[in-house]
Amino acid sequence: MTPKYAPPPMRELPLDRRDQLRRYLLVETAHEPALTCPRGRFTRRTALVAAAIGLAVAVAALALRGGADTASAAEVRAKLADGLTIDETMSGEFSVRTRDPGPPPPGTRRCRDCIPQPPLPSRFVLHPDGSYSSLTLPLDAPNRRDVAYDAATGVETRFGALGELRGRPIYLRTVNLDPALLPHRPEAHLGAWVQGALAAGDPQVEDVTIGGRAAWKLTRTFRPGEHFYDAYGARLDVVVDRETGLVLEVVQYAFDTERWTSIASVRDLRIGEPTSRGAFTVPRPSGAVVVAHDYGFRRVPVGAAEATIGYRPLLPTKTFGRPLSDFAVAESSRFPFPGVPVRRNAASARYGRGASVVTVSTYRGPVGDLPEIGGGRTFDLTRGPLAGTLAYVTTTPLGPAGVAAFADGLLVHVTAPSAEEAIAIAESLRAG
Amino acid sequence: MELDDAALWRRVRLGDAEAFGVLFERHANAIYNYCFRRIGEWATAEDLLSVVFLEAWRRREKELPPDKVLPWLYGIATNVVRNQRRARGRHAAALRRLPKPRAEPEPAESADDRMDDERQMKRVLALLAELPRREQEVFALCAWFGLSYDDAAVALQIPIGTVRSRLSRARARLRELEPGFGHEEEHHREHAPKVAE
Repeated sequence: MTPKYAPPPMRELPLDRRDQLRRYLLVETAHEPALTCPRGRFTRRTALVAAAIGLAVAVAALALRGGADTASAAEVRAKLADGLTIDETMSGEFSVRTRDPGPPPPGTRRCRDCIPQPPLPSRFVLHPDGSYSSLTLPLDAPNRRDVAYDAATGVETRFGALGELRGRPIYLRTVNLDPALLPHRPEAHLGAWVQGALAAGDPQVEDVTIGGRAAWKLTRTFRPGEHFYDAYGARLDVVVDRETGLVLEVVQYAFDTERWTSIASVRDLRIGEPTSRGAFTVPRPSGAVVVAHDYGFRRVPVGAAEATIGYRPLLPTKTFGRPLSDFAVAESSRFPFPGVPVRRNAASARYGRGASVVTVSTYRGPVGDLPEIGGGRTFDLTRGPLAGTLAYVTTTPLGPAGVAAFADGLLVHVTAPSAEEAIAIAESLRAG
Repeated sequence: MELDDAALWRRVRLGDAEAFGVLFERHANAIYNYCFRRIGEWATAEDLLSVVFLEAWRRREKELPPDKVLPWLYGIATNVVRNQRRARGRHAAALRRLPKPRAEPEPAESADDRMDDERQMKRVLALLAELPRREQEVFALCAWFGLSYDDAAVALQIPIGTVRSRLSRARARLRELEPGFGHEEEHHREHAPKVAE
């Protein structure tokens, strides 16, 4: 029994809350300067000068911000990070429009991914447990790209563009998925991609309303060649939902900061609506033939991986605050599609939740199996066990950035929201 | 290999936020419980935990003796608790961005336990409030969290002799006010977090 005047026993902060606060702190610390003014040296004159500068800055900031409630870029960035870790069920409609930017003006480098391949419009549902679905709109459209994953059962279902079997369209049902295999979820990747685009500098922020929702509009212009491999063109306008931090719209300008070349939008956003588990399985169209596939990945403790794959997996020491959320190994893993090489002795790890994830994957195979060869740009890794290895980096709109390398018969893949993060993570790999 | 606090702090001083995150993971529970025991509310303790670490990051250029990171964090927590209004004001913008706990239903038993904790702690704090604030601080650090005199001196930035005399006065006064008060020291010492790994 607790004595009358004894403090109650200590309690632990729940693990998920501690993780949430740690992530929050990491975001906050990115924008908090160190206290450098030594005590006792702050003279009256310095104070007056500082006060005058402060006043001038405040007046200038008020003039630029266009409203007392307009957030700073740092606040919006923090909210974006919030939006990437889905805390409530969210659903909405996603669509992309594009138009040809024409030839680049003389002297301007053509950006690598100025015009994203527009995906079909879709209705998406995201669940905090990692379940998701993305169904092509309209729901009776004959040309479909449906995908859904139920985290409770670990089953992914797909329909559309999978070919035919015995003259009937294929409905794919897969299990034991690769933790590093991030499905094409444009609405979720938007946030990660935008976060990468905004990592290098502060955008201009203004208050807007979009689809009846209060939002912030961020505008960031890029000088040609300024950002990593010119993935973003000349200008980006990003609209971020104030309540959830979800990216509602991205407008890309390839060469001319006044002429848009693609608009990706989320509309009809609904938050916290009850959702049945059935929402995370693609409905099987009548006449479709079910093809079952096992990717072969088994969830094991990191320490037990070597027994299956024959080597200690390479894992990052730097994940920018994301905890390990999934780890699995496969003696051999095949894709359900022809032409994709078999991956042997594969180990994959995923860090973080929602769209703000980092993945690291290693497997044995010939260097020619690196899909990035020919597509990415090259650089030399300078740190870690892969130091001195030639690596490939790729950036793609609507997807995370990737780094791939080949060393001692091992193929290494890293993905992250930005190319800078992916490179830093690749250089922090250690045998786990 | 896990880095010790001193090695992590050296990295933090160079601006390594990851290392700071590791320190947070390592010491969050200690600081969380310390804040709770100084104010008697779990929810506020959680807010103050964030403020303590934001403040620690702001002061990351501070050179610390080896093994004194946690005592120094206790010191920041003491100041934050003492000057809650000012500390919250300094980090007001960051606190507005503090994420809400995920809406997972808390078991009724756990919610009740927390309310019981708060009632119990307020009773203890009411008695402790009979002491001068400086003695309360020394008592909380040494008696409830098992800090050595040396560590408490680092936390409060006072000489060891002052720690010793304040603690002695606090104990004597508490025994006078409530003879049963001393029981909790042994009762809780076994639960006290380790000061240094």
